[in-house]
Amino acid sequence: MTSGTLEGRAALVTGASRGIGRAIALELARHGAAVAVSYRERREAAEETAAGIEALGGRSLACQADVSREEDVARLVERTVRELGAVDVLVCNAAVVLSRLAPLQTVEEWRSVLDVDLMGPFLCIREAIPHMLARRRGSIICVSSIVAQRGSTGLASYAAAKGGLEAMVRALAVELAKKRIRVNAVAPGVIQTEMTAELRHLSSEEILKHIPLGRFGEPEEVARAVRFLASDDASYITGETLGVHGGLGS
Amino acid sequence: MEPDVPDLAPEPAVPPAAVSETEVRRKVVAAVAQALDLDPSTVVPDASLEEELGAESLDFLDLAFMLEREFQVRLPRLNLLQRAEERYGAGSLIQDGQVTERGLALLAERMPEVAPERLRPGLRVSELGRLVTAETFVRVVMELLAHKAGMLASPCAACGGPLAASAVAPELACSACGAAVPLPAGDEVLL
Repeated sequence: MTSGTLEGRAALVTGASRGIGRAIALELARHGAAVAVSYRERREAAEETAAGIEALGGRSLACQADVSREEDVARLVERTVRELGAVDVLVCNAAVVLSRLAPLQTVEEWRSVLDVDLMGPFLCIREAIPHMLARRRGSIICVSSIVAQRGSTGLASYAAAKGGLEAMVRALAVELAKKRIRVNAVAPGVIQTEMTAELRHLSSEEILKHIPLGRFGEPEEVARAVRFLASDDASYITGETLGVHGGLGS
Repeated sequence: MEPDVPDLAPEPAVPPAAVSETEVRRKVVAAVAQALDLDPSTVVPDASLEEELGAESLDFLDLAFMLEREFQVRLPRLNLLQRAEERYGAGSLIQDGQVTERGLALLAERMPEVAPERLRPGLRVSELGRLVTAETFVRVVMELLAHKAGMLASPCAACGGPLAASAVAPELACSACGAAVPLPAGDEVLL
């Protein structure tokens, strides 16, 4: 097998209509994977991602799902398996961020972030495990954030979710290792996406001072790290969080 | 007052499963071998999966998933005593982590594949996994297939048409109106 190839693998990427998720879906497809593109609201954008995959000669499907809802996740995984034949690679990327000072954050807001950013990956992984066990292989990659390790004003709920996510990755890596299912995370820094546009607009110079590589990251740079972890090139790596942040967390 | 656990009467008669016990045993042994990365010829059906074949908790789940796919049934997720306590109330079968006399009697009644000397007083509920063998799974699958056969013998509740088993999902479907009838969870079917 060619190094880094994902030929013959089926992948499911959540939150893949845009940004980092879209870049990951395209990167996996470019290396041979059939990819299910999951989205919550942006159907047209998800279909564009799927069309992009097909333009690369890959197989794809766009599937609506709210990852915080059990029934949606069950349907998403079932449809991926039915149409693409398996879930060999699962990328839990879907997330929401709410920037609000803790004293102003309501319980409902806190829960809504934790539901999508922490319970969502758990539900997706739980649903995918039986299919990975059946294939005797699997690679799960959760998209965390530099915020899990480095404090940031107004992001308590997001940080709690991502910190929990990294802890869950370590626990599941141990739990599933015996069955040749690897579980890892990537922790992006400030990546040039719609999600960080306002942040970059307001304090670009200030943030850049703290990034040793002196620039913001591109979604494709996160996608390449995910593709590495998904492939057999990372066959001896599990339970790790790979920072993709230009040195910001160092 | 003790929880109301029923007398240990035999289960009601159910139609025989369409698959023979020999065939089920062959497939269970193959699944055990696959789950534990063993040569099927080394899997003795009455060997303790945990003590003699090295099975861990995830292996049991892996095995259950495999058998569910193979036979399109839904295996229980709880052990026998947990199911009984869930259904009839806690306390009379397990106390302070130990299986009570009544619990031992229930195990002997419902797990005939277990050698009687293994059901000794003082058995802890955390040790129940050690009693499980490939034969345990054979019995459970046979019971679930018999229950499924019983459901297949009944007419569709919606239109009275005949039901047929799905080859790809743990459910039945009406051949006349197409209504889907999901199989109940194994924890609901088996005591």
